[in-house]
Amino acid sequence: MTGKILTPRVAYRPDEEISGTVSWTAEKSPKTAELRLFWHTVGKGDRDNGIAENLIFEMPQPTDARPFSFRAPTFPPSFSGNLISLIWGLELILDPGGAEALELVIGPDAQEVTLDHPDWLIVPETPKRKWPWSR
Amino acid sequence: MFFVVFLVLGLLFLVLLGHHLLRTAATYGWIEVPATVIHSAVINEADQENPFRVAVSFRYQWEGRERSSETYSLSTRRFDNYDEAMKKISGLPDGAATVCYVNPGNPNEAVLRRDGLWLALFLAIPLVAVAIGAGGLFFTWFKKPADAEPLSAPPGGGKARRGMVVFGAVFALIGGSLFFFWFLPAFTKSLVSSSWRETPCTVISSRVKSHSDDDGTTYSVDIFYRYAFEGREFRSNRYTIFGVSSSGRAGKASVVALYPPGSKTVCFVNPNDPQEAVLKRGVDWSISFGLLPLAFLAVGLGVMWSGLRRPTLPQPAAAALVDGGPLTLKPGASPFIKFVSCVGIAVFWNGIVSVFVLDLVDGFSRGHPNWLLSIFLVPFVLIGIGLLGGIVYSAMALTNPRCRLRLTPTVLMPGQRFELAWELYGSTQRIRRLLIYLEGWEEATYRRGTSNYTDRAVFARVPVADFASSLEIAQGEARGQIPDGVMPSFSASNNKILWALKVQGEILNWPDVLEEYVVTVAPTVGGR
Repeated sequence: MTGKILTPRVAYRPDEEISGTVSWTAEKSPKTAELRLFWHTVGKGDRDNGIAENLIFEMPQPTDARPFSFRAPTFPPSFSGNLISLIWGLELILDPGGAEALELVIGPDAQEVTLDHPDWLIVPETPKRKWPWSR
Repeated sequence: MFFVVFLVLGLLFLVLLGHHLLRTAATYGWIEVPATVIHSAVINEADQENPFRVAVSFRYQWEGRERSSETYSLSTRRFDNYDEAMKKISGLPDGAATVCYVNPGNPNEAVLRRDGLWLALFLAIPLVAVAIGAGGLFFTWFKKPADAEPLSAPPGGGKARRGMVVFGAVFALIGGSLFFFWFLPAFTKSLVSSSWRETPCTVISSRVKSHSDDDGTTYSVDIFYRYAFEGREFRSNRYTIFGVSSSGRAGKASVVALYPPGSKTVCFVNPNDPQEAVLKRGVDWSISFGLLPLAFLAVGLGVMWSGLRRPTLPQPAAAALVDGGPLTLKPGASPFIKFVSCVGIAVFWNGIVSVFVLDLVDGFSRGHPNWLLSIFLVPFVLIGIGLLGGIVYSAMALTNPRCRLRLTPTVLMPGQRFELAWELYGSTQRIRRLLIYLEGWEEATYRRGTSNYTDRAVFARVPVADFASSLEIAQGEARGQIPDGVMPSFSASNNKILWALKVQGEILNWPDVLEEYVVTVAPTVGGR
């Protein structure tokens, strides 16, 4: 299967419309064709994911192209940290045929939230342990 | 290899069970003819696991010729309980007229009773095993490589989730069947046995019975006694309704010692079925064994639920919907909980280590020191000593002042200012310095082998209060601000973004006050 997800851009603010076209070419008509707006985590922790919206295409043909439109969710935003990153995406799933994904950014100002920010990590001077034997 | 084992074991079980069922089913095609019981009895073969054997002999006519058989039914008729064996021959006294079933292909073969076909229900178990084994091998060898798993598919994949549902259903079915068809009837009988009639009885034999298998040896009370009820003599070997065996021989031996052979005592007889009697009536501790099927049922249903559950989209914190204030915060874990946890871990660890240490000490005292084991145990003993130190430390922390925090507003959002009021109670004068700060961190849980690990990485720490004067430490107010643009609280199964207010109070020569109050940072209207 060759599939394509075409959108005018890949970064969105919450509540913005995400629209575009999906197209595919397969050897025979897929039993099901579905487009999902989803997020998943990458990083040190085991993968979590979730589906915000999905669209099931009726009567998919071996070669086909369909328009779609979703609303960008308000939460969770795309973010990136030392251990965890959260990535939004569109995924076209044909059965049989496999899957094709397009990575998106959904966040304030159409940017991902970056956890590493020097201004946020103000290290207070924590009390030092003083035991009688450490004097 | 996994699928081969499933297939071979499943086929083996299927053949054995199938053969038995086919033979049993064949008896339903045998010819029913009149028969006369020559002799019937229950034989006590005490050296057997199930000592009570049904022994019958009967004669019957086939094509004008008299024949005889000693087969009660195709399956071996042995019982652990005397009354169950007696019920099989009730109505079959010597000389009684009855019917038997003759194999027309071999008229010398006849049975007095045909076995039930309920075992066919258990065919599902080997059939499932064969299906898993054969299906797995087929897909491994013949199926073309599967399409890549979609990123949006539930972690573990749909097949794994379906597997969980099947596995949970089998567990739940076994647990549910045992609970409803074994535990509940016996439990009901235990309750009803409280009204059974007290009757004098004489002990014929008594012993502690051993049951050995791969998991070790368990013991049960085995007391055989006779009693007279309404002019007839009966025998029973039931001590309680639940005749379970368990570890610990001494407890059973002390019970058996109360019933030496020949001693007179009382039993409790079911007036509706005098063949049933127990030495101890009502519900006793052994009924707790019957709750095991309930645990199976609960685990099975839990696994099924996990397999059926769909992952949900993390929602913005509920606090975002209800603004107001102030909010009184609760600490994550109280010093008492920490103390109890320390005690629990230390007792568990040192309990295990002490078994080896005592063995070692015993060897030294007998003049046979085991130096290799001594060296091996050193790090384990040191950890145990460290854990004992942890108990002392957490016990000292029990006397520390406690802190109450009130937060205004209840909803924290990126860029927002907040007010925090604190009140310390207890011996606050011991605190030399109080530090309160807001901390945000990532928390990632991952599996390596059979263990789960959780890593933390702090990405934001904002001081809220820092006081050294005892008046200001005891109670006060401070203002803070969540940095603009930070990530709000987020919680998925394995990955989290958490925020907490942390209170740290320095006490000289004593464990510090360390308390954590988890707060929710909600996204702003713009999604951040």
